[in-house]
Amino acid sequence: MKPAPFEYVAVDSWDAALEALTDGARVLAGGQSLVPLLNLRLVRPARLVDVTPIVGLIRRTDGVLRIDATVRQATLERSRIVAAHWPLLAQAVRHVGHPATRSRGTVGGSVAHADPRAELVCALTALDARYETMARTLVERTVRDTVSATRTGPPTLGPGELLTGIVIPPLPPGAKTAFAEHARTHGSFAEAAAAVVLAEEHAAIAILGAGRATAAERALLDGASAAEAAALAADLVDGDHPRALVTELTRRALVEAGRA
Amino acid sequence: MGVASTLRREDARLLAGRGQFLDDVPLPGALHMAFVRSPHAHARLNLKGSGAFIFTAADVAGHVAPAQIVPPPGLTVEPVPHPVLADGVVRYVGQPVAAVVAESRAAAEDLAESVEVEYEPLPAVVDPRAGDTMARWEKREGDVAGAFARAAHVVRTERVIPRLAAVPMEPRGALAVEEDGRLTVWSSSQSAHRPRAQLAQSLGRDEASIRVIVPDVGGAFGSKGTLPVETPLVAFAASRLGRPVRWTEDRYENFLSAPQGRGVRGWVELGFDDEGRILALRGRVLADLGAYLLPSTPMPPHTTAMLLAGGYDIPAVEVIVTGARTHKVPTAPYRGAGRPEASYLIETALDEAARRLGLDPLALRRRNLVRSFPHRTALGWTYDSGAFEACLDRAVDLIGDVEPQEPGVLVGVGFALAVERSGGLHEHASVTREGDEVVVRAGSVPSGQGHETLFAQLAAERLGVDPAMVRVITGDSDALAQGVGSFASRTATMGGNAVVAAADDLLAGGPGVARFESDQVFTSGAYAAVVEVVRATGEVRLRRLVAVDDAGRILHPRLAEGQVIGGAVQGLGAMLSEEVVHDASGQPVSASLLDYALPTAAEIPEFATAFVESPSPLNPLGVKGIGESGTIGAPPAIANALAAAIGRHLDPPYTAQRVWEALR
Repeated sequence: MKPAPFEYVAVDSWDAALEALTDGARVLAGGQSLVPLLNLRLVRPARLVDVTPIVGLIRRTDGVLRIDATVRQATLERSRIVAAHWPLLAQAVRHVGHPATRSRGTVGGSVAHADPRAELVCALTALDARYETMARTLVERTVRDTVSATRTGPPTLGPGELLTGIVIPPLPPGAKTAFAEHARTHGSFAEAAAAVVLAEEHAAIAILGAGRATAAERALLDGASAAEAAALAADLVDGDHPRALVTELTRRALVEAGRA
Repeated sequence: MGVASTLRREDARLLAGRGQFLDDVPLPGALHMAFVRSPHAHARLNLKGSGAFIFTAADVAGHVAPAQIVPPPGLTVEPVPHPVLADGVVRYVGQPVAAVVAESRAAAEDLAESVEVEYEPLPAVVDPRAGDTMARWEKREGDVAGAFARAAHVVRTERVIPRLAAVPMEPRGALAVEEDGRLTVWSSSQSAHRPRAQLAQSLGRDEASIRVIVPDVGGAFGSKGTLPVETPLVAFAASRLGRPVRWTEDRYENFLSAPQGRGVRGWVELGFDDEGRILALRGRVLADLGAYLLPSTPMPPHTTAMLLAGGYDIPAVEVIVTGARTHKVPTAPYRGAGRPEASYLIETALDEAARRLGLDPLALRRRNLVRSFPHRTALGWTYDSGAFEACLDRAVDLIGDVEPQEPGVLVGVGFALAVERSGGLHEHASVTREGDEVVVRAGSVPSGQGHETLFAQLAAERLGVDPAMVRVITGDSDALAQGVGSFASRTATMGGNAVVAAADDLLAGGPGVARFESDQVFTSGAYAAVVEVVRATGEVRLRRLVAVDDAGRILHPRLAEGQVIGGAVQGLGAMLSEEVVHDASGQPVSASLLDYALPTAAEIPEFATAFVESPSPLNPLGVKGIGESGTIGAPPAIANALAAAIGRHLDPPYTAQRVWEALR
């Protein structure tokens, strides 16, 4: 379990990262998903561009949260700003791997890796997160962009494109959040999960790997019970047992967030 | 002789990172070995690479011989020892095809990858029911046919116990150097003397020309009681190249190539009279032995059959064991080694009988318990001591009342008895005074259990000195002329009594050397579990686990309880989440810690443990083994609790999907 040979480049700015991100290069952003793939030689990049020396901060400005892509998952877990204003992220990140992997893994790495089982992506989808990216055009010009998530999650990064930050709007006043998950063992990849934000005139439900449950959200705004909305959310997934899991986990999360 | 429950003296070293595990042993200039391993479950192969740093079957033929197989008495086996390196055909994914050495492990893996091998895939046998017979044994005692003919009720069960991986925190490995005609091999093992004997046989050398050293071992669980097929190659390469050679197995290799445990399909047929007394038992054990035999491969299914009657007095018993050849890595002992299979088969059959006959499972057990000791079982093993009903009473007491359930949650309570052979054969130790110190040298080899603490206390107490003055040396074949090792829950019984005998010899004016010999002794216990099932999803939660063990006299309660809890956690992993899975073509699909679901601290329930002490009459300390009880008793208790919750038996692992489908 040693990776095939590669060149290692550490960078301390996004501009340097873009420059280093040549053909056949991959971004190393904590490595908790990428390194196992490297060690099994399932991926063989010519170069790894380590972006973790780029300083990552969590800040709240005018009520809006900005999480730099290189913020460690453990930092998110311990952030007082996050706990006070976006508790859903704190609730979700506890399900990501184990304390040891969270001390290395980054929030941006988790989003960019785009595993459909990623809890943080599910939570960010429920929070209407937007994603800041950088890319180089053919004429070597740096283009910055901020894109919204699609209904099913964050945008897919193109070749040579970097995720630099995540922007999250404030929660509605009085919002309650909950995250419910089933995994074979704690810290294993989740089989199903639901992220929920509930407030006056506001309902957001994201289902792991499937995105926003819009029909369930509309039903909640129309006064549906937790069980009724949960049954609608299950329409996003295939298979009898996955449907049973999504129904029950969504119901649990809605109840925890205050819906009867 | 009672020993206080002191702290473990090895913890200061091991927990602070000051242990020396195999990969920590400094040996400058060592080459690193890596293996070309088969990516196919069954294929013809044509190996094209060769070179000074590449070893193929042809290169080692005549120099390294496969390990000899010595099956348990009466069991016949086919002559299919595990080849040193594959020659012409591979029979499991991960089988070593060639060994390579290089200046670093990464360079060795690059070299291994560059070796050209052509494979022509062949059909693979994955289901043991379709495999050729590689081992066979049967035994019957008493009038089995007559008893079934007059039985008022006959209950038949069929159970499947999946293969499990031992997953020691430190994988296996070896480091070898030859100097002045003497070969020194460091091995992450459960013994120093047995690897020495096996290396001598494989390499065609005198035992005296080999020294085996076992450094600190980061977990073994039986999987390091079998010398890896790779180890003689490490030693051969070191001799051939005149340089030290190191092989540190990685996690992926450990999942693919280390022997696995369990893998049994079992049928139990019980004949009852109209009062619920068991008149006879018929058992069939079909073991998925894998592609080849390792020396220890035939042992667990034999133990399963011999212990199939469990803690019950059954006058007529018939067992037939078939070991099937499949295209998978061989099986070998894994903590429990045949006993968990036996307890699972008999204890879940009893609960099935209770459900069918409308009897209370505890009452059915009490009606059939072995009550007087020594007890010779129908198949001929002798339970030296025990107090089965006292264990059961204590377990009933400790499990307490089960609180009313929340809506949508099913709750079940299950009980199981466990009977375990432990110890046997012989063990060696010496106790000497060297300056101000007392030095204990033992043939037992620890892999985390706390032998150093135990042996120091036994010797100190015998000699009337402070345990701090006692130094314990284990895992060095040069330290003692002979030794056996640590497996089959034998260390307290065999090693402990050997240390005491050596101390007594010293006190009597002798050289302080002892060889202790004993028949196997029988540990027993009663386990109980409370399981919750979420009806809507099939999620299973183990709420409470009770372990009551009779390991004779308890020498060190803290160490003993540590063994019980560690074993029970492996037992609950086996029931709730662990399973080695192969696809239809024989590809392992659970070969990483992401896919093989070991339990975590979050899955560990509320525990209660207790000891019932009926001393063994077979050794002066009156002790019996405790190292495997948890893996033997916890699984059937959990299975019976789940069955009580959902109204029918299920085989493990209890994934939400499997349980949910059973509830539909």
